[in-house]
Amino acid sequence: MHITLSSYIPLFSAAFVLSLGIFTFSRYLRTKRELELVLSLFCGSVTVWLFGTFMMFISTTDAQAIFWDRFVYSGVVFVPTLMHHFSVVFADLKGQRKYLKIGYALSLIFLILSWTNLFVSDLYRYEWGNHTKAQLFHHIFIVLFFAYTSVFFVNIWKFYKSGIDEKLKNQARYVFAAFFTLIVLGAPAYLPAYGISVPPFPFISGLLFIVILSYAILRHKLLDVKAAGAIFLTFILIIILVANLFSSSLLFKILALAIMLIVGYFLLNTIQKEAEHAERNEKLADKLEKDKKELVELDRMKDEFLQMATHELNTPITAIQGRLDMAVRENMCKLNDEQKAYFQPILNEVMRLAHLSKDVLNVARIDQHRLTINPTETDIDALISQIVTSLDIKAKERGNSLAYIKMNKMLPKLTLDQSKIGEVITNLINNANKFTENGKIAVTSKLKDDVVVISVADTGIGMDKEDQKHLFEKFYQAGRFDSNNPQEQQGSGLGLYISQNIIKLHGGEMWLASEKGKGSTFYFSLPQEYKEIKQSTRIHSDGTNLRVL
Amino acid sequence: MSKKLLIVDDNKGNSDLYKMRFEYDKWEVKVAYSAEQAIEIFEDHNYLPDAILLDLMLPKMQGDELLKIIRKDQRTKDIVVVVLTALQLNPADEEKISGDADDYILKIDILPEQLVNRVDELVEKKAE
Repeated sequence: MHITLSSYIPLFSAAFVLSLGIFTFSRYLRTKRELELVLSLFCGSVTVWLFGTFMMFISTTDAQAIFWDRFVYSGVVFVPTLMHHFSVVFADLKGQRKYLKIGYALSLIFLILSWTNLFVSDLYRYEWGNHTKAQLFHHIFIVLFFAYTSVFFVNIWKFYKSGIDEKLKNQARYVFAAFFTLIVLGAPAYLPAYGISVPPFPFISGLLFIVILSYAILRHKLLDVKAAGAIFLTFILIIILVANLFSSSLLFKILALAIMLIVGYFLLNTIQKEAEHAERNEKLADKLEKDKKELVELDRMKDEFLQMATHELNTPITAIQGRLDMAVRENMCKLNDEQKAYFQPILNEVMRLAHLSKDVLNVARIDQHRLTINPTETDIDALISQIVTSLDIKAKERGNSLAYIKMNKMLPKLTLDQSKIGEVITNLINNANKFTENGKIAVTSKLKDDVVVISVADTGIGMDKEDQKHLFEKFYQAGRFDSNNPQEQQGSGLGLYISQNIIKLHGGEMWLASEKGKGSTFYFSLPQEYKEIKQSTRIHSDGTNLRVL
Repeated sequence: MSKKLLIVDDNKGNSDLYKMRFEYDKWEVKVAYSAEQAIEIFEDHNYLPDAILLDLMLPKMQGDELLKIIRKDQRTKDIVVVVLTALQLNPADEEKISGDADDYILKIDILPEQLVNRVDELVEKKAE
């Protein structure tokens, strides 16, 4: 039998499928991924089918043709099982794994049978080629073949339907399309076994299968490789070039040239896409870098803006607060009692405003992880004593006694930000004074293990569990809607939030114990050994804290 | 003899306030509305105060630069300088800027009377 164009179709298809098989197998050797092993074995089976068909077509004797057709079936019998296996791995169907062994056992049985006359016998010659005639076990095999391949399609379809990941869904779509093309287009190759002659179009299915799968590999990373497509296409080109060298047939050369043009086109296309991809990535990286710089700049500007805004607010507040204090408290203007009573609330409100203006910037800095401390070695005893003394008058004004009780004679020197820790202690005593009338306020300090614990206890109104739970939250004010707690006693709800964060920056903790009607005790700890606390993630600035003057 | 104070602050509302309060306690007070004016007072008028209240944000030369000049000059290097500003810096930055100062105080943190006491205390301490 002479070689015709139609006999080359299965050969070229075989070359393509073999290329993918070798490629995926070499990938498997590196990655050890089951999916790649199964795909390469599947390609091997299809190659056996296509190559055997080519050999059968060019066989000169019946015996030769029958031999090569049996060879064809040696590959085909594994196709349904390998397809099922592929779907099990691809869709991760652990439940179906136990059926794989049965599938491979059946394939082996049919492999043996295919070399007997119980499967195929004799030769049917037709216009475009020849084929053996189907026997009893061939009929059974065909039924199983379509049953298994149907399960494959159902598995992939279900996976596609239930999938959430767009990348996996796209892969499933192309896997379905590739195998569907192969099976639906390739199945008529069985027809000559039943005496029906068909043109050799089924053998093109191998080519189409490769094209679709290559696309899936390339665009949807089916095998998790970037350059897979380019390498694979180059491989095909080499095979065809080598084959061309050994062939003297003009027909072969024309066909080879056509395929080389197509493959070459795909190859260039692939390389171009990769290049475009790289270019786009580069642009994106540039943009990202620029955006990041802008964000850092914005972050810095926000702090700068807040700093300027509070600066502008602080200036007039200072003047108002100062003059009112001189007029009312120091009585430099010789106000009478009526006038004093009139101005006193204004002074109180301005002082509240001064606190708020300061707190707002501190809170913003805490939230941006920008608040820094300036720790120096400090005699904590002296610091507490000094604050307690300075607040004594304020406590007495409300009929409270204020005392500092030292549990240890000597406390170790601590490394801390004096003014910030001073603020915390002042804030706690002021709070205690605010919620206590004609009672006691006691500040204590003691060394326990490696930490110094400082507490501020009062015999004031205390608070319920609900208030305690939210007390350290920003803007939370205990007893805000309590009618016994007049508005003028309220603060900004920021003091404890800031205090707790200052303590955290020192590596310590703040907590409280309180009972409604009996009083509250606030505690905070400071580690004996100061360690700088790395502040959690924030947009990293250039490291220098910008000064705004 | 009364103690002498120089206020370097471009904000009239604030400088007037402090001038008034210090004068109430019998201080002799001069006001400079810029760093340049402050230098002029040292140089031309040979006015060497016991203490300086220094604002950080000034029109041309900034407060911290003036502080450096004060500390370099033999005649002025021992003067008590209190940086008194409305600018709320992060404590770590405060340290960098006010390193040469005798104290760093946020304006809204201190009442006029407390300020007079504080400055007085610092001057007395330095005199010892």
